Amino acid sequence: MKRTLLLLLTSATLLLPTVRVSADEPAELQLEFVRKMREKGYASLALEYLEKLQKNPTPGLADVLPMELARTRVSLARQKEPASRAALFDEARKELEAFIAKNPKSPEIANARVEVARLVAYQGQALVSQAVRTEDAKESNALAAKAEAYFIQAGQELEAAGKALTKPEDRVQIDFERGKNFLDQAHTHPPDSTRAKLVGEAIKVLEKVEKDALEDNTNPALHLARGWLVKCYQEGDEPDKAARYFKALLRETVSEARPGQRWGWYFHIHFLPKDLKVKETPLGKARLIQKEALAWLKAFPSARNTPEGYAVRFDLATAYANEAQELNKGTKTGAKAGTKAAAVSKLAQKELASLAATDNDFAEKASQMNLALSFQVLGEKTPLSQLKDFEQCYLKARYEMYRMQDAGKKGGPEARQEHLKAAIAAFRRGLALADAKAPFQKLSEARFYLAYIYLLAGDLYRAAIVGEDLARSRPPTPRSAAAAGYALQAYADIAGATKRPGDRERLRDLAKYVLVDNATAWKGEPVTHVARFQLAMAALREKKYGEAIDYLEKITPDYSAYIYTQAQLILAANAARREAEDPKQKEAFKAKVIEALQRMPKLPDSADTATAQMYFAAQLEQGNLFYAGAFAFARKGDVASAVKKYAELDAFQTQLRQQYDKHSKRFPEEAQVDFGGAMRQMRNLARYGMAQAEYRAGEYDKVLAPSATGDVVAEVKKLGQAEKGAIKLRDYQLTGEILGLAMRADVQKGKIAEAKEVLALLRRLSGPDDAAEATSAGAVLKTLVLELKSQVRDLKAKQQTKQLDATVKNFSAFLDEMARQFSKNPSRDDLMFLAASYSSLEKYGEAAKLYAQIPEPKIAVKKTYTPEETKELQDYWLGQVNYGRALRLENRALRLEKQFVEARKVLQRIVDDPRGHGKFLAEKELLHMYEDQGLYGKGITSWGQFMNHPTMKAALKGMGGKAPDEQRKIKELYFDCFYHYVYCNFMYGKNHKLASKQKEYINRAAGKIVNLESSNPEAWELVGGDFRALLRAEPLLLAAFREQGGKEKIAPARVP
Amino acid sequence: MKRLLIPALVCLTAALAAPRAAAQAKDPEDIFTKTSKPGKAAYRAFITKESPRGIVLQGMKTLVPADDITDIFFQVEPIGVRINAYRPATLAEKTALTSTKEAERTKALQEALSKYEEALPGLKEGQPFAKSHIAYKIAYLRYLQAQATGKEDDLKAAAAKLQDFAQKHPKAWQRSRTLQTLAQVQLDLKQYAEAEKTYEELAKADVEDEVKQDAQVQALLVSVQAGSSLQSEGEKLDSEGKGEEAKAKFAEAQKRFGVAEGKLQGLMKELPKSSRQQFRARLALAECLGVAKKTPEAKALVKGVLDETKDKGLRTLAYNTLGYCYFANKQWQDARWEFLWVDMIYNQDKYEHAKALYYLSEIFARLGEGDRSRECLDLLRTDQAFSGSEYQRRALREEKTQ
Repeated sequence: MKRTLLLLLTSATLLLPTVRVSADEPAELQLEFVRKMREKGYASLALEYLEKLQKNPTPGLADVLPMELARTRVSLARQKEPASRAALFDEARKELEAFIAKNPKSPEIANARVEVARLVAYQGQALVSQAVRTEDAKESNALAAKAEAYFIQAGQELEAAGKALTKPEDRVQIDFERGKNFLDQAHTHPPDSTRAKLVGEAIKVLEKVEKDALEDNTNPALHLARGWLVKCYQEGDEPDKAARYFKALLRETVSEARPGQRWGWYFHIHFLPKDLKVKETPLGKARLIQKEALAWLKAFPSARNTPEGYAVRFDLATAYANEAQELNKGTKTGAKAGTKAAAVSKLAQKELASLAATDNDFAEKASQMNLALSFQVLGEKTPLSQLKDFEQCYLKARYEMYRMQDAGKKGGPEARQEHLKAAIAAFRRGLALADAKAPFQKLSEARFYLAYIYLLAGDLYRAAIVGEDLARSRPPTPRSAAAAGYALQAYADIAGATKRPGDRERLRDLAKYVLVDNATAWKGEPVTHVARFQLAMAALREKKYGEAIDYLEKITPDYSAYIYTQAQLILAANAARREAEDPKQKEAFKAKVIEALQRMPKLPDSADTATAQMYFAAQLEQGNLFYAGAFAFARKGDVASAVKKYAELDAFQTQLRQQYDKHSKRFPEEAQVDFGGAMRQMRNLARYGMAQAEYRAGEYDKVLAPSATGDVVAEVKKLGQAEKGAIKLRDYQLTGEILGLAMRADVQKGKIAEAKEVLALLRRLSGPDDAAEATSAGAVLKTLVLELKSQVRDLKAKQQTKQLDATVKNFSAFLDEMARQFSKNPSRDDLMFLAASYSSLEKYGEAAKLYAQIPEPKIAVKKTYTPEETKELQDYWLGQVNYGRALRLENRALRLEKQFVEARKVLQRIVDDPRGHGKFLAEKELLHMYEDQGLYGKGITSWGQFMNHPTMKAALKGMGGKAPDEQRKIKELYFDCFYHYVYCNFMYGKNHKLASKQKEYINRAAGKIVNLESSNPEAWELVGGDFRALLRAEPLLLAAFREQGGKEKIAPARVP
Repeated sequence: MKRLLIPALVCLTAALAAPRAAAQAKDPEDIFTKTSKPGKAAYRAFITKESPRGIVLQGMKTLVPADDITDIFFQVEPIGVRINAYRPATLAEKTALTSTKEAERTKALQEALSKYEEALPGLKEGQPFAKSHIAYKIAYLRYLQAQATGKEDDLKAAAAKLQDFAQKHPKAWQRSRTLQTLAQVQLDLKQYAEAEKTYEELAKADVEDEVKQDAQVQALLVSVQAGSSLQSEGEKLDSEGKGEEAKAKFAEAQKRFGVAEGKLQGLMKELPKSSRQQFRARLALAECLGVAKKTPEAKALVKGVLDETKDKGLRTLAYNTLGYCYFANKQWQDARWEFLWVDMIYNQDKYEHAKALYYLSEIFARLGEGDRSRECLDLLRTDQAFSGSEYQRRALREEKTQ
C-alpha cells in the first residue's frame, strides 16, 4: 500500500510542468549558459536547452535563437563521427540561411555568414577525415577533391562576409577564418607545390591578422592566429619560427588568449615526434609528450572534450602506448621494466577507452588501439575455460570479433564462422561471470555486441531478446538505442519468416518504444529510422501502403540506408497506385512516387548490392513514368510532345544503363537477367514510342532510323543469324511490335524484300519459356494485324484519303507478294495472317478466299478434348467467325440476299456444330446481318436480347477476377452491342413512315446516348467515338441529342 | 550546511606565509584575513583579547571579526619549538591541504598533526592564544584525517577532540568554526540530534547575529536531514515488505518535516525582509519542502528568491537548493539543469561549485552518461580550487572505494 503511494507520489512529481526557474534569467546569461555548455562539450544539452527556449522565447532571445541553434548543431556535429555529421550540418546550414534571409539588416548577419562559411569548411574537414581513413587511393583522392571544393566555397563565403564589414577591426576574425581555411585546403593535397603555396597563403593571411590585432591584447583572434601560425610554420618547414611563436603565445596571461593557447600548444605537442630539434630517444620523446599533454589538460581542465582536447588526449594515449612498447623491448633485461610497461599501458588504455566511448574524430582509432593493447596483455591463445572473470572474457570476445572481421575480409567463411562462435561463447561466459565489480559500461557493451553477433549468426530469437533487454535498460546506456536497432532487425526477420501476428506485435511494441517512449532521448538516432523502416515493412506485408509510405517519408537523408528506404517507398507507392480504384488516390500515390524519385540522392559507386538493386528497381519506375507521360500525349494525338517524352525516356535509359553497368557485375545472376531485361524493355518502349509516333506522322525513314527501329531490327537479325529456329526474347511482344513497325515502314517505302525479311524474323520471335514458338509468333502477328487495322481506321476517320489509298496499295502489294509465296503449300497460320491482313485493309473478298482455304481439323465429336485438340478447334472456328464476318462485310454494301446466304451458312454452322468455338461471336455477327439488311426492328429486339445473353451475363459477372485488359475487352464487347442497339433504334425511327414513331425512336436513341454520356464516363470513353461519328453523320439524332441535354460539342458533317 | 572551505583556506594561507615569518622572540603575530593578498598578512600585531566574535589587536580599537580571519601565524616560543615543530607543522599542513596525490596528502596530514602535537606541550607559558590556536588545529586536522578514512571510530575521536576544545575554550575566536565542524562530524556520524544541539549552541553563543541566524537555519536543516534519513529507512523497510515499521518511519519523517517547516516559517517572519538571512531561511525552507516531496512549493520559493535578488551568492545557493530538491525526488533531468547553471554560470563560490559538480557526477551516472560523470568527478578531485571542500573529500573518498 505504502509502496503504491510512494510510486504515485514519484509519478506525480515527474508529471510536474518543467518550466525552469532559469527561464527568467536575462537573455545574455541564457546565451552564455548555452555557449559554456557548448565549450565544455555538452552540445547535446545545449541543443536540448535551446529547443526548450525556442518553444517560448523571450523577446531578447527570439531573434538570436536560430543562430545559436545552428552553432550548437555544428558543435554537436563536430563531436560526432565524421560520417554522421552531414545531417546536422545540413540542418544548421538551413537555419543559418533562413536567418540571413529573414534578418538582412541584423548586426549578426556577418557572424551568420561566417558561421555558414565555417560550416562549409567543416563539411570539407569531415571529407578530409574520411579521405585519410580510406584505403583505396582513388577513392581517397576523390574525397580530397570534394573536400577542396568545400574549402574553396568556404573561402568565397568568408570573402563575401568580410566585404559586408566596413571596420577593419571587425574583419580580423573573418581573416583568421580565411587563413585557417587555406591551411585546411592545403591538407587536401599531397606534399607538393600546390600544398606549399596554400600554406604560404595561410601564413600571409594569419600574419596580417596578427598585425591588425596586435594592439588589442584582448582580441582572441590575435592569439588564435598565433596558435595556427605555429602549425603553419611547422608545415612550412620553419620549426624555429613555430617554436618562437609557441613560446610567445604561452606567455600571454589574458583569458582571451586561452583558445589560441589551446590550439598552439596542441600543435606543439603533436609536432614533437617530428621535431628534429628534440634530441631524445623514442622513450624520451614519449615521456616528453606525456608531460606536455598532461600539463595541457591541467591548464585547460574544462576543454577535455573539445576537438583540441580530444586531439591532445589521443596524443597522450599514443605516447603512453609508445612508452609501453619501448619498455617492453627491454623486459628481457628486467622485470621491473615489464611492470612499468604494464602500468603505462593501462594508462594508455584508460585514456583510449574514454576517447572511444564518445563520438569524436579519434573514437574509432582509439577503439582499435585499445583493443590491440588489450590483446597484447591477454595473450591470444588462452582457452576460454581458463578465463576467470568478465573482463577477460570480454576481451577474448572482442578479440574473436576482430578476427572474425579479418577473416571476413580475407574471404574465409569457415574461419569467420569459427570466430563468430568463439565470440558468442566468450560473451556468454563473460556475462555469466559478471559480478558487482564488472563495469556497467562494459557490461552493456558486451550485451550490445552479443545482440549484434547473434544477429550475424542468424540466431534471431536470441538477438531480439538480448537487444531488446539492453534497449529497455534503465538508466539507458549509450548502446541502448543501437541495441534496439538490432532487436528490431531480428524481430522483423522473425516476423517475416513465421508470419505470426505475435511476432509482428513484438516488433511493433519495440518500435513504439523507440519512436514514442524515447522520442526525445533518441531523437535523430539511426534506430528511429530503423524503427520506421521496419514498421513500414510490416505495414507493406499487410498491404497497408498508406501507412508504410507515411513511415518511409519520415526517414531523413542522414540515415545510412536512406536510398534503400526511399526506393522502397517508390515501389510501395507504385503498388498502391496500381491497386487504388479512386482516380484521385491514384494521382496522390503517383505524386508520392515522383516526390520520392526527385529527392532520392545519386547512387554512390560504393553502394552495397542490396541498395543498388533497390535503387535500380525504383529508377525503372521513373522510366515507367516517362513512358506513361509519353503514352498519354500519344493517345491524345499530341505527337510532338509524345516524341519529346519518348526521347527523354531514351536519354534516361541510356544514362541509367551506364550507371547500371558500374554495379551490375556484383548482382546475382537472376537479378542481372531481370534488370538487363527491364533495361532493354525500357529502351524498346522508348524506341517503339518514337517509331510509332513517326509512323503515324508518315515519317517512314525516321521509323527505320537506328535510333528508332533500326538498332532493334539489327539486334534481332544478329540473333537470328546466330541461332536457327525460334529467336527467344523476354520482351518478344514489344520487340515484335517494333519489328512490325519497321516492316510496315518498309512496306510503305515499297521495300518489299526488307519487309519480308523483317516479317520472317517476326515470325521466329518467341518468349524465353514458350515451348511452341508458334504461340508467340501468332500473338505478335495478331498485334501487327490489329495495328494495321487501327491505322486504316484512323486514316479513314481523319479522311486522309490520299494516305489511306497509298497505305492500302502498298500493303496490298506486299500481301499479294506474300500470298503468291504461300500459294504452293500454305500453312494454317500463313492463311490466317494473310486473311486477317487483307481484312485490316478492308479487302474482304481476298480475306474470304483465304479463310475458305483453312482446312477443318480432323477431330471427331467427343465428350472431352485434349488441350491440343481444343486449341486447334478454337483456332479453326475463330477463323470461321472471321470468314463469316469477311463474307458479310464484303456484301454489306450490296445487300444481296444471295451473298448473305453464304455468310449466314458459315456463321450458322459455327452455332450449330457441337465442336464449335466462338459461338457467341458468331451469333453477334448474325445480328449484324439484320442491320446490313435494314431489318432494324428485328435488330432492336435481337440486340436487346443479346445484351442479356447468358454468356454476356456470365462474362460481366465474373469480370472482377480478371486482368484489366480482359475486363476492358468484355466492356468493349458489351458497349459495342449497346451501340448497335441504339443505332437500330435510331435507324428504325428514321425510316419509319409515321412522324410520331419516327420522333419516338429517334428520341429514345438520343436519350440513351445522353444517359451514357452523363452517367458512365468509362463506357463513354469506350464507345464515345462511335457515337460521335454517328451524331456527326445524323443531324436528326444530333438535334435530339442536344435537345435532351447532350454535352458533347459535335459539328454536323459537312455536306460535300 | 557546514562549510569547510574557510577552515581549509585558513590553514593554507597560514602555511604559505610561514616561511616569511621572522624568527624573533618578540615579533608580533601575522594575522591573515579574507582580504589579505595571497601570502601576505593583513595585520602584524599582538593579540590583546579574544572572544567568539573576534580578536582585538594591540593599538587597535576595532575588533577583527572571527569570520574574517583565515589564519594566524604565531611567533611561538621557545624558538626551538617554533623551528622544529610549529613551523614544520604549518608547512606539512600546507601540503596536506593542497596536494592532489592521496599518499602525499595522508602523509603530510599525519606529519602536521604530529608536529602540532609535539609543539603544544613544549610552548612556554604566557602564550594562551597560540596554545588555543594549536589545540584547535589539532582537533581540526584530526577531523580531516577522520574524514579521509571515513571510519566511524576516527570520526568519533575527532568529534571528541572538537567537543573538548569547545568546552575548554569557550571564549576562543575559533568557537564558531569549531562548533560548525563538530556539527558536520556529528552529521557524518548520523548523530542528528547532537548536530542540531550543536547548532543551537552556536545560535546562543556570543557570536555575530548573522552567524546566530545561520546556525538557527542550520539546526532546522539538520532536522530536515534527519527526516530524510528516516524517510530513506522507511523506503527500505517498505521494499522489504515491513509495512508497519515503514509506516512509523514515514510518520516520524513527516513529523520532523512539519516541525522544521513550521519553525522555518516562523524564523522567516522574524528575520528582516529581503535580508540575506531571510533569503537563506527561505532556501532552507525550500530544501525542507523538497525533501518532503513538495517540489512545486519548493520550486515556487526558490523562484521567489531568484526574482527578488541579484546577489550571485544567493542565486548560486538557490540553484543548488532546487537542484538538490529534484535530486532528492529522483528527478535527475530537472536536477541536472539546476546544477548545470551553477557549474556554467554561478561558479564563483567554490564550495557551491564543488557541490554542483558532485551532484552532477551522480546525476550523469544515473542517466547513463558515464563519461560526463567521470569528467565532473575528475575535475572535482583534481582542481585545486576545490581543495579541502567537503565535496572534494567525498569525491576522493569515493574514488578510493571504487
